[in-house]
Amino acid sequence: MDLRDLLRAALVETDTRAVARQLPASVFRFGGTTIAIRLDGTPPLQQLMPMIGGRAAAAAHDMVVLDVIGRPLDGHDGLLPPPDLRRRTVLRASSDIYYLWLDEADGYLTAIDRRTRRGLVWFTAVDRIASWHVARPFLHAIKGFSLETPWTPIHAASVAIADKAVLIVGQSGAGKTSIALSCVTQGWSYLGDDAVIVRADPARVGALYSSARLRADTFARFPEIMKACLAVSDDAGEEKAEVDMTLLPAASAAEAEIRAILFPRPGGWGDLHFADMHKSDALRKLMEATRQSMMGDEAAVFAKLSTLVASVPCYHMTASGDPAVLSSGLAKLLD
Amino acid sequence: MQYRLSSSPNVSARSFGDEVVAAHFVNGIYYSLLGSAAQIWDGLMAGVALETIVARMAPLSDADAADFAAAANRLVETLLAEQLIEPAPDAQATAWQPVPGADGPYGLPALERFTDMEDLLQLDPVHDVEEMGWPHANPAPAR
Repeated sequence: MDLRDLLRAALVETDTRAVARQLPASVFRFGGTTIAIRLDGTPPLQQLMPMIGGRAAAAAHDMVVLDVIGRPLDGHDGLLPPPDLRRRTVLRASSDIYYLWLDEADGYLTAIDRRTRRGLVWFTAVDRIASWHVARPFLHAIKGFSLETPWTPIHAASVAIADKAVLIVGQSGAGKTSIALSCVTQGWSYLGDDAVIVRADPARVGALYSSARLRADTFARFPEIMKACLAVSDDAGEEKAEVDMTLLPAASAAEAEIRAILFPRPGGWGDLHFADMHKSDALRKLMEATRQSMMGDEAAVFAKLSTLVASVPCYHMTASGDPAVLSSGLAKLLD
Repeated sequence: MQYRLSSSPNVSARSFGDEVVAAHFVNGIYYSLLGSAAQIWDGLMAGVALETIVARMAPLSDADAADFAAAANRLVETLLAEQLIEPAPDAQATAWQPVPGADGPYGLPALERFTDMEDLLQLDPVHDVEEMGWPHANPAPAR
């Protein structure tokens, strides 16, 4: 049976069940997509909702529907990869389907029917939802629904002053969170420390989540931020402080104009320094950083991000460990 | 001979004027063309014959004309081998002139190849599902 048919059958069942059980839909806006989310499963699913609370929106005529499943989907196991592939990553991204199976949380499926604009996220072991999913819920579904919009989620941090933002791009451990939070302590607005959504024309960045995740070696550096720590989680053996930035007096921004894209140099901190960067290097690194955590639709993402990179200055950056110096240096890039 | 961007949906490229980035999404390899290579790429994408491109580019380079032509031919051969471009004998050429180098004469054209993502994909392969759908997983995705 074709994967599309399997998905449509599963979506019919989840919809029928949601209507019969009168599952409430919560509506959120991510970039150009309004998503109505229905949770169908045991209480652990509720932990996926707080970090998107800031994106709550009114129902819209063009909204898409996402059913989040935390229970067996009887009769629909055929939608899951064959057993020999379940320890791997399985992807199909085409004009009509976005299907991503990740061997996380004992098996986690995002499947979007782009024609009917409906999708599901299926946690096959709902008691194994990882801290990553709590901090960045539905990221792959947001990606799956964004194809036809000017927006695309990317792996980056962002902070802003007065509707002007910088993007900070790099692999995990590059310093995105520390740079963003240093700026927040200096009065910048927070848009994200790891995942945000961007568009190219005009160059804009939108917040997805209110979460921030601090590595253990930075806890002492951000005592004010740590006041909003909800828990310390184990992320594949690494301690992470799970912070809800809405609990802090610092402002959070929903959207801002992108004025610069920054790529922290690996290897730490020093005297604040910016160096012009080849656009080709910037696009490649942005694609690579994003591709690692948000797979699929590469050609469409490439088209969007190449237009963004063409229109915004891009810099290699050596970050200063002094938040005031860092903040004032970054602020100059906004003019 | 004229060429165009590969018709594969897995290949994309973007010119920023003085530099070009191209990508092959199946194997995760990215390419960078700077200086004279970027100019040649732009000429190829405009449908201009390689011989014409070389004739217009050589005076802008401090390299020997024969050496420049040989390097341009090698560049195109590499682009073909990497499946980034394909022959386009029926291409309609549009107006194109090379832009002189901002920092002086151009050197010989070259293609930079970045395999960071290829290495990651080999460590954690992504299994694509072919067009006929589940459960036919591609054992080795076609380029």
